[in-house]
Amino acid sequence: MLKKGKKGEVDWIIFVAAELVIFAIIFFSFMSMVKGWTSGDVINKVYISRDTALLIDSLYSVPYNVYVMYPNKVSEITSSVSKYTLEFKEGVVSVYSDMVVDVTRASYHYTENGKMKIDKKFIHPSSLVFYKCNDAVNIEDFKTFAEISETFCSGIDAEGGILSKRFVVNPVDDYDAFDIADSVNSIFFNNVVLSRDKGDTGITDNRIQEKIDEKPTDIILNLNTDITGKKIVIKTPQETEKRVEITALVSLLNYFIKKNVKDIEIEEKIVEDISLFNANTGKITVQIEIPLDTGISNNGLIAKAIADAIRRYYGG
Amino acid sequence: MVVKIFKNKKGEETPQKMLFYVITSIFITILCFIIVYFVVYDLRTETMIPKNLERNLFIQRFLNSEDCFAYTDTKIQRIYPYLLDQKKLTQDTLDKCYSINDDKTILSDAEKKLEEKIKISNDGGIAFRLTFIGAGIVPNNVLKTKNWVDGKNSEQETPIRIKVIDDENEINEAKLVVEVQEGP
Repeated sequence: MLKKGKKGEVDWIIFVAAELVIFAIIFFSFMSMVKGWTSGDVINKVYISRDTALLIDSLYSVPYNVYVMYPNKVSEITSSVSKYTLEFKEGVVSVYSDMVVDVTRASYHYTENGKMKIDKKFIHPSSLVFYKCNDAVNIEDFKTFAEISETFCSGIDAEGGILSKRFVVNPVDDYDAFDIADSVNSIFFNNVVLSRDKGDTGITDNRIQEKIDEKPTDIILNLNTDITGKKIVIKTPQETEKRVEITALVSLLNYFIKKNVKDIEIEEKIVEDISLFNANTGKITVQIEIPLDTGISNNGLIAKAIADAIRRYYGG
Repeated sequence: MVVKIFKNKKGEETPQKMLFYVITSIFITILCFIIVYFVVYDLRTETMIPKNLERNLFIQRFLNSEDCFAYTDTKIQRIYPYLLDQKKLTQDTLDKCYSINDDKTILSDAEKKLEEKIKISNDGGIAFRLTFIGAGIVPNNVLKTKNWVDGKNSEQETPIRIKVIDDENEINEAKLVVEVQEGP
């Protein structure tokens, strides 16, 4: 209630105080709204645009073919991808809502190579697959693993194997076999020794000779621990290729993350159906999944994990 | 009645009204600043990208990608990361593997000006200058991405140990010095 002074004027101090109270109420209501706004829609869009752009850049840095399913559960935010439209064009990811003009549209850049220009638009995608096939990165809207298997590298990969020529880890060769094998041991398989030369550790010369006599081989894979059937399946060598066939049924990316992003606990996921794998390419192939919900909000965790792992693996 | 609150009997505005406007405008300004601060702070913290991640991804690309400098044994379709093909150490290879503005080969004057602006601002991208040092490598073999701006500040990464394979399949130890320009 306003109080009047001697001359019938309103007591302005009380009036201002009342106004300030009203402003305070509006302020806190507004702040609450802004907080919700920033922690929701806007941040989601910015996060997804950055995350997907970094993911594309990271795929280019992987030496072989690879695919990554998205959304992942490294951050809860990515699960909101189905609420938006994602557009990948001319090196920019744009994430926006169904509005005539989305003032909170988020964009982030990625850098392509000369092989292929990504030009894709996904309206409320339930899930996306980012993949690199023969050095060309692309994105598809897939719902099931089976759908991915039918189209990944189709027409390019003559073998047609579901995971063939994907992320290939085949580190043994004429140079630095020891160093690389050590890296493999320490990063991926703990006690696996990949060797080629007689001098390599983990297998005797006689045994190597026996193996070579049995079937022509370039690579001997010696498992120091019994992980056959659990993580790795060794296929019969193709005589024509003279190389041992190796198929890994474990997500190497999980190892990447486990080793490089310590605050994330990643559950190993093993693909049981080995018929999905094609062994004819003679290379280790990998399915990549990010299975755990960590609740950590930080862009580019997967990309960072991939980059760190590759650097450690190949760069020493 | 409210209209008359700050008016005297003659209907003239009182000093109290002016004071009220001053206080209100200051308050609203502070409110705006606080809101902007919260919005920016939240966006920054929630969507933070790990430091140097992007540049490291691109450096990995240079070393690992078949489309960049990595050596590929075409017989078995195998790529050798960190083993660079001497034949690929060219500006043309870098331009292809780090594709920036490569669809603007024919530019009008206006586009050239725009291109220049983009170069100066880096367009949000990261620019690299790569110097390969080692036996069998052409001395001063320096390659620059298209968005590299001469004279602009840059950071030098720790030199990377690589290997380079020549036409006769001889492998030599080498070093790659990477300089990076990032940000405006």
